[in-house]
Amino acid sequence: MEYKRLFLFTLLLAICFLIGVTWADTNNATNKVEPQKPTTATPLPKVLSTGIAPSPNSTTAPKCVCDGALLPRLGENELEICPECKCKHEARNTTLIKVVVIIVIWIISILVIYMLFLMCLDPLLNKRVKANYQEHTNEDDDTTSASPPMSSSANQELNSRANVLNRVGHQQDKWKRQVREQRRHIYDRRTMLN
Amino acid sequence: MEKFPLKGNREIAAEGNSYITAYQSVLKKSNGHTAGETSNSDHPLAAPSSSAATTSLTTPEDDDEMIDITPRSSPGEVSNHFNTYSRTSTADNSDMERERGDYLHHQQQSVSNSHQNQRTHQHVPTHSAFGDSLDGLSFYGSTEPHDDIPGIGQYDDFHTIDWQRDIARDRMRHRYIVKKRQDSLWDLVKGAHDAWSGWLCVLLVGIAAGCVAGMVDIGASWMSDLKHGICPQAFWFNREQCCWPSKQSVFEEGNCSTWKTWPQVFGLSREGTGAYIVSYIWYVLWALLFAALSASLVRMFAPYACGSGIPEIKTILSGFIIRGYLGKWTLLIKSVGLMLSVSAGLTLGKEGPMVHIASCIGNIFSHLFPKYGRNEAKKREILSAAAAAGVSVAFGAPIGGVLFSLEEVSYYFPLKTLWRSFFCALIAAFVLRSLTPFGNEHSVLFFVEYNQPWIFFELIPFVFLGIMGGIIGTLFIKANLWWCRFRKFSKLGQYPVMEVLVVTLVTGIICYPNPFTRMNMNELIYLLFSQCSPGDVSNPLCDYTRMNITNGASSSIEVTQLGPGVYRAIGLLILTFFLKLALTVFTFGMKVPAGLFIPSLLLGAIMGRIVGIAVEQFAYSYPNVWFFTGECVQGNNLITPGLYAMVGAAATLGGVTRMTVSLVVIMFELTGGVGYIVPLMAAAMASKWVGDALGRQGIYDAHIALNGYPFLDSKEEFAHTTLAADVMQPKRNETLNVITQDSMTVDDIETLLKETEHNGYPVVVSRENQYLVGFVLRRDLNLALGNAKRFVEGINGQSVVLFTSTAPAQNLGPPPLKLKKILDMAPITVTDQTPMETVVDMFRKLGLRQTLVTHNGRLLGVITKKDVLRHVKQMDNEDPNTVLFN
Repeated sequence: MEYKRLFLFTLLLAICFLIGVTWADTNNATNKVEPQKPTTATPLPKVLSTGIAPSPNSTTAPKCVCDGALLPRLGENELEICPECKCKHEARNTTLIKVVVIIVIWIISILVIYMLFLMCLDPLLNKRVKANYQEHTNEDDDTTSASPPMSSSANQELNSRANVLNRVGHQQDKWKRQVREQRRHIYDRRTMLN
Repeated sequence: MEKFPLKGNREIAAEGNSYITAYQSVLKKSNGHTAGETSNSDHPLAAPSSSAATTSLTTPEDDDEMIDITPRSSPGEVSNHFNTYSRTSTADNSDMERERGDYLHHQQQSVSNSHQNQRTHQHVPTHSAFGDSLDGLSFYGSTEPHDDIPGIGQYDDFHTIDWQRDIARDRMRHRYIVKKRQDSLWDLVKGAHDAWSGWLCVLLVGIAAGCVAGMVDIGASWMSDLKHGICPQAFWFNREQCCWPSKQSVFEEGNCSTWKTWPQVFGLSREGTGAYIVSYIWYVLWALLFAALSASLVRMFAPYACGSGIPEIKTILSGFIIRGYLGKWTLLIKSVGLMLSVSAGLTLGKEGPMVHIASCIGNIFSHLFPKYGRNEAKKREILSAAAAAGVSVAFGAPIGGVLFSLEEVSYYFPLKTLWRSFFCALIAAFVLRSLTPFGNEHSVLFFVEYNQPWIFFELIPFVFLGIMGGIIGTLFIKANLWWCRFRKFSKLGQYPVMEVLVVTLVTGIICYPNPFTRMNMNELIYLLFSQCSPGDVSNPLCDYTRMNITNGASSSIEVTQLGPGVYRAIGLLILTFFLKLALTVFTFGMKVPAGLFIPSLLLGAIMGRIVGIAVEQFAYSYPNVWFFTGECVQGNNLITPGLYAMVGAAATLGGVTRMTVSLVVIMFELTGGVGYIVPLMAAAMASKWVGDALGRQGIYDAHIALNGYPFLDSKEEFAHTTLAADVMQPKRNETLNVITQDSMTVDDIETLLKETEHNGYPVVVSRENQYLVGFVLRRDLNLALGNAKRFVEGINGQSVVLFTSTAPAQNLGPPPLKLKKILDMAPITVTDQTPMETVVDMFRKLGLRQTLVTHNGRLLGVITKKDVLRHVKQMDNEDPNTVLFN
């Protein structure tokens, strides 16, 4: 039980850290970006202008540009727009990109933390807990299946809390067993997915 | 216990078989025409038909006992009864009961099946006769999600499913729902829900697949660019998005001030040797980090998430159970690992794993609908649709996805599934389109904007490209298989994470200096597919000498003669080709999520572009050769090298995967080049011919064979002259383990179960007269015995197990245990002289799990799917012991 609490604690810490980091970053970023990209939330049109085409034997001005072809022309002294500018319109939802990237960072960080926990802390904690844990396993099984309908309400509450943890533990153990089995198939016996 | 009058005994039926009994008896009643005129009058066709189907089941003395079953009992009552009942018994017990019930259905249904197959009578009468009989089918009231009992109709890990049995179960369930629909409004609603649940399920799958694919696309593109630099103002933008307002191209980074490369982040200048070295190191470090994360996440959380997944999906869809292969963790880790491994710059694509991801989504959503979640055969319909959605979102090619599912992945693909796949692919593509991960107005990956006609002569280079594609594909398959086999049987397989790291390191170090290998493979393919525009100066492939043609009022600029940049680019491309080919051989099969489509497309595109440039120069240099005359306007550029790249890509992909129709459709959907179907078809066909001539299998089939998955390929023909007697178990001097119908005790059977490991046992009349009665599955037998020992009074080791409905005369000793309900009375049988061709065909087309072999009507042996697979392998001179099977 203890190691689970410890794990929850570390997870909580990590999540807080992550929240802090992403929030701070988001804040900074939006503050900075805002003036440049006034409509961050709406799809931004983009003009890709390629094709500077100097044409030696044409009578038009030898120098022309494609940049800013879509912007309003202010002065007359600017270079002329080339006749062969290609415009491409692209639109993306920048909010979506931001949300997705942050979610991805989150998922990866949580997975990495959990992986590190399973790799480093779990064996240590399990070793200590294992002795009394294994004895209790069967009893726990019995109580989870039999007790809920019969016990009194106060008892039930205590029980249920314990049960939730137990059930989580059982689920986790079951899952770990499955993964171990998969690993055995793939990495040790190499019967699959080669 | 068959004698229970059903109504009175529902509550007290503690040993849990009364419902089955009731059902069976009802069935007998309505089939025997002693009662149930109301139901028969509903279905006028039913009356004359059913006797043939039911002779084996009908025992006259049962009929009158069942009069008091009310066919119109209300559903609420029924489910109440069931609930009371199930609360009093443990989950195991009710599980058992359900198992038996389902099995019984199968039994009944398979009778009708076999009769249908023999065409002894019409389809419809049988249908309605059984439909009527379902009136009193009380335990089906429990098929709602809330009394979910796991393990119904399920199979153990690494078993094959029995398609016939599962489909029969579903038909039975469907008939029951149709029948009950008339009872109340609620049942009508439930019936409607059942009817549309397939569509609803694929709708959800499509939406989820689109969302996941969008996330993977966005995440991967962001992380790929993280290797080069970061957008400090908005770290979630990749370079293209960061440099949004300013002009930029793939090769030039100069103009973008918002995007900071790593040397700039550390205060160095953008150009220069020092900056180059810093970028190089950061590139490799990021790649290593991503690859290490990907490999260790896969190893830690979901080892099944590695590889492409298509061989396994193929096997699963052909009716094999791999528990956890399509689970939640696999989905999560595969998506995340895919992003990471793509961004690590490894030569792999994310398209194949997308199919796996979509299939995981399909599997997860199918659990919301018990109709699909609890029936493995039905679930595979959803999985087929999901696989279509996977390709649809991977390439933005919905129709290609449907055809891919049909041609490459699926095993059992009825029209209904085709339409569902179509819908699913459509939804998925639509959702992905609305997320616009490719960033332009086209939802496809490599949109080509040119639309120039091709001339007839060009078919020759196209076919040549096809041939080359076939050769490259075969080479790739051979090399990759050799390496995978080496990995499998040598020590290398013990270091999966190390292997990934080493390959990533090598990839990073080799790929950075060459600009073509440094960029994303997607970008490179796009570059190779696209046409040079007159003003394009940044792309080295477009370093042509420009000519200006004035034609009347309008002047146009044409590019024709090669400049030095193109030669340099071609040199680099050739280098890239060999590098990527070698790297892909080593990458595909590593323990990270890795697909094969993009690398093979890239290989083909490089080859095609080079050939295209060669043909273009040929046409430019000799415009007056006879096959160009008439086609060629003076000085006009008539060959499009981008088209050759497209055709070459299709050819190589075809050579690797041996797809044809779906490949062409994917390619033209991928590029939007509908006008180029004929060149693509020619190349795909040539590549398929050459590939098949050089090596029999596509990459997926080769990997299936390498891993020994029990996949009975319906493409290949069985051309040997063996007979069923040669294949069946037991062999000559062994004994066949059988169960007799009325003389074995519980102890006998338990000993048999302990001593043998067969998954099922034939039941015969007696040891002396081995006439076949039926077939019983080991799993059912185990559950039935365990259940009986716990809950039936007086059953002990000496109880006789009866598989008949009539008890033997002697009444000494403990009461007999009746297990007729778990007996499959209609097993498929063949005679020992049946040619194996026929047997293999039966296994393929009917999806059998086993068939019994008889001789002169006496049971001789059993042929299981495993025996068939081993026999096929043996006949092909391969090691039959590699079949992965339980």
